[in-house]
Amino acid sequence: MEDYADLAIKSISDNQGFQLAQVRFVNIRQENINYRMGLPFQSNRSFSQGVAVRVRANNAWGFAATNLLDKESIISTAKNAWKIALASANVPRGQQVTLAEEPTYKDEYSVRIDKDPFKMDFEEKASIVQDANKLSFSETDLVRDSMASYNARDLNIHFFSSDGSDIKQRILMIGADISAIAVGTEGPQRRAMDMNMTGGWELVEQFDLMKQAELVKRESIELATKAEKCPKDYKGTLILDPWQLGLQIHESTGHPTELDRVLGYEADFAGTSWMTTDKLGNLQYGNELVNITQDATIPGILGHIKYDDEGVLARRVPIVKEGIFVGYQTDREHASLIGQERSTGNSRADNYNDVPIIRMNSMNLDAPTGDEGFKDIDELIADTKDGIYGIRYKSHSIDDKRLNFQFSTQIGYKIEKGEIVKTLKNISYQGITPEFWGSVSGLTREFELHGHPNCGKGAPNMQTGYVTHGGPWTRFENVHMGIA
Amino acid sequence: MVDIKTFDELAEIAKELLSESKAQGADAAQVAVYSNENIATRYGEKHITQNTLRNTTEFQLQLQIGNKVGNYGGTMHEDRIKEMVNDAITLARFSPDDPEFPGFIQKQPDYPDLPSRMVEYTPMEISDQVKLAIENAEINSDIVSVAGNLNYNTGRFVLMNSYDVMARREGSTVSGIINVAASKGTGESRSSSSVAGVKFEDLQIEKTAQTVADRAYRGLNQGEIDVGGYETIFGHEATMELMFHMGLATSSSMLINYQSPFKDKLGEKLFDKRFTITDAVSDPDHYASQNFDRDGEPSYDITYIEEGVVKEFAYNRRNAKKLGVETNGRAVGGFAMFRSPSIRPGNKSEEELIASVDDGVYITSLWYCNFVHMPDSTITGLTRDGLFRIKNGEIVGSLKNMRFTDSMYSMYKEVEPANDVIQKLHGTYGSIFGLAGKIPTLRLGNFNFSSKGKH
Ligand SMILES: [Zn+2]
Repeated sequence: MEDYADLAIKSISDNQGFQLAQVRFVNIRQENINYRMGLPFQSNRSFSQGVAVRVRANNAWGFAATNLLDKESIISTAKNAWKIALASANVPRGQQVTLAEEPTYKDEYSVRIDKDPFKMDFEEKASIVQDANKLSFSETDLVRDSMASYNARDLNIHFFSSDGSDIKQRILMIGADISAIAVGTEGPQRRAMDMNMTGGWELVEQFDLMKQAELVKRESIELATKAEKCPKDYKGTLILDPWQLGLQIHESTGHPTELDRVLGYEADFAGTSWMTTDKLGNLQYGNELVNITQDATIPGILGHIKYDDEGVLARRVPIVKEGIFVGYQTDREHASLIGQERSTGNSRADNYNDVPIIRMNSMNLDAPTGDEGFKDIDELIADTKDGIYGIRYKSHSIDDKRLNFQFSTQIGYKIEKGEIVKTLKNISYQGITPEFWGSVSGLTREFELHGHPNCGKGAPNMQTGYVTHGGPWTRFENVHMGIA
Repeated sequence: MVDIKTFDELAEIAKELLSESKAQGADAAQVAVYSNENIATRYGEKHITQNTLRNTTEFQLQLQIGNKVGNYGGTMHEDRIKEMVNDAITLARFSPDDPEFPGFIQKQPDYPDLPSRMVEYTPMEISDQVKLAIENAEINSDIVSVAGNLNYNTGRFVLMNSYDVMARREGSTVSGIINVAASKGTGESRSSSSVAGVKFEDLQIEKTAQTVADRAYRGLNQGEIDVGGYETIFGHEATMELMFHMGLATSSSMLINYQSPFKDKLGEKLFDKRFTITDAVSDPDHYASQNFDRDGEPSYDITYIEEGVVKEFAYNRRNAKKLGVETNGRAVGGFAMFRSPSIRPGNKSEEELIASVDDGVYITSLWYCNFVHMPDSTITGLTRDGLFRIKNGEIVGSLKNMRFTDSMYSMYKEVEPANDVIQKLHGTYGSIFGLAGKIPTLRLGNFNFSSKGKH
């Protein structure tokens, strides 16, 4: 591949206006095993492989990709990328941009894999998924639909750049999920649990699908038969579990701090951002308890990478520090546009034929340390006079600048005088981003991070982003709940 | 020069996969092979920001051994056929029986005619169209930004199975979004419009860019309104946005998992008598036209909402078998959905509809709409890119965005379509699912806003 990458680069590097070329060979092997109500359901395997050439020339970008890996096809793909760069320069940016500097690297990296799922017996994996699925609707006629799945996505990237980088990465993503829909007299209710990380089959074992099957069965039935509706137009205290907190971070911190959105380059689809460049360093985003950090270097999480798809080394980047907005997510071009010396390493492409764009990787609310905060959710509930505790995502919506959001959780509990008094269903809450983060009144030292393999961005060729979010159990005040 | 495989080349690949499947022990198999060229040009702040060309040949293979099923897909590599088929074979062999698998079509269907529409564009021709959009949007000095995308796709598709069934289709589409920002003082306003068709002329880029810019300019100086119900005009974008939710609600996949609000409501009048929606797949100018679906089943036009009555769900072979009915040719991968909605127009113009509103709003686009609780059809989302106040039949000013939370039953209880049908790509899922509609402006008797936006 080194030879072919070299040939591709050489076929365009003498052209007038050439600045940089990046060649990315990608192959992805995937396996999905699904069971629905005890029966196999559209299980699937796939393999995709191809090469992309991205070129910077005359202050513009070109990109071309093909799944053909012979010498001629790769060279003609490089030439196509050049043609595209010329077409881009036909509607040029006025300002000259020098990409933010990054050292070059020669490296080979793999996430830690104890038990490679692609080297295991198929039946062993399938029977674990099937058993859990069967358990989730056994001995009840209330659970009418249930699904259990395992999936693996073995991503192998070999990245070359004309300035000398040669980086090989293997990122094996592993996921498992299980859901149950119970139907009671007042209609259906769904409960689901999932796990998405990087590593091997051992993660599925740790997740313990059988335990999760019991949980989704029990709680979907409870929701459909016993739970009360969330009180209408209730204004008060809301505690979110780390999973739902993660969604809150994703939508209200992650997306508005993507610098391409901020600068108007995502206005056609994803939207823009209220966190404009004049606010960097001075915006009161939340109160002093709010510290949000991007960190793709954490091993084992779904959003973990060593290098991004521009060959930038991943690193920790503070986004919100003691309530003040302090950092954006960037790539090399956008970092340079706001005068930052280095990219934050957020340039990612979903597949070989996708162009790298600014994507979240891992962004989390920092948990307190030492004696600060509360030990765990039990301590936090005991400290709460009156409120609602919401768990896991059911529905979400947020505006195109990321200010007005409305989310729902799958299940929740009413808290009175420091104790859980009943189970609630159809919990919805609505807020305005800085007001919501300004109302944090409690964090636990215990925290969890969860992977989310489903962030969409990059119209018109939508790409999937694989991200991690989480933090402590977090308490918010004066929240408007019970909207629908 | 577009570089995609011919029908014969695709059929050769399909035959090879079928014969290898048989050789490795499959009783039957079906394969879909696609060859595609895509040029996607994105722009922002009045220049091209990303521009990509992709040539791909991909396939999806499904095979059966007795009642055991294996699925396999990905990019096509002719030197790996044995290995790929083996992966599908082992998946099938080690899976338990799948009694819900409907099997493959065993007799060549008689597909309806659908003329092929191929156009060729170069990257430079596409960037010239982007230039046109930017130039035409600059209607005055308050237009500060033009963003958007233009997406060109051309491809061929062949589906074959071991019973000698063969279906093939070729075609091109162009689609995109134009988004324009106006600014005066500290105020900013954006507006946008999606475009979809087969060739550039269908998109009317110049006119669309001017209209969007004009709307962005008129959107400056937003006032505010209170939460609550309003008489509402849905512009084309807003009408189209919620066609996705109607598509989900009428999907047989959502019947099976108890999520469809229309479960057990077939034949009931749920909406205004003036509300009729046809899945117009036979319309050759429709962005999402088709004469067969992903199962290889023929697809015909279906009126699924007729005078306010839900008449039909979208089926694929698998769902149809499970629910004990016949498929109607709406397989989309493993899902089933109506993707080419055509709403029956009324006889008034948009201006006449606006004139009939005493105290209400005009919504250009809706954004981030999701079901809050699908079984009761409640949806939440926001207005975007142009919310206007209507008083005494006239647009009197622009408004800050609002969040709505409302059920489909309530919002479509009183619907009057205008006569101004145009084609729109779905803002969020258009390019992913191939979802586009030929739709008019709508006047809703009441639409419920649940909270105020900040911009
Ligand atoms: Zn996202």
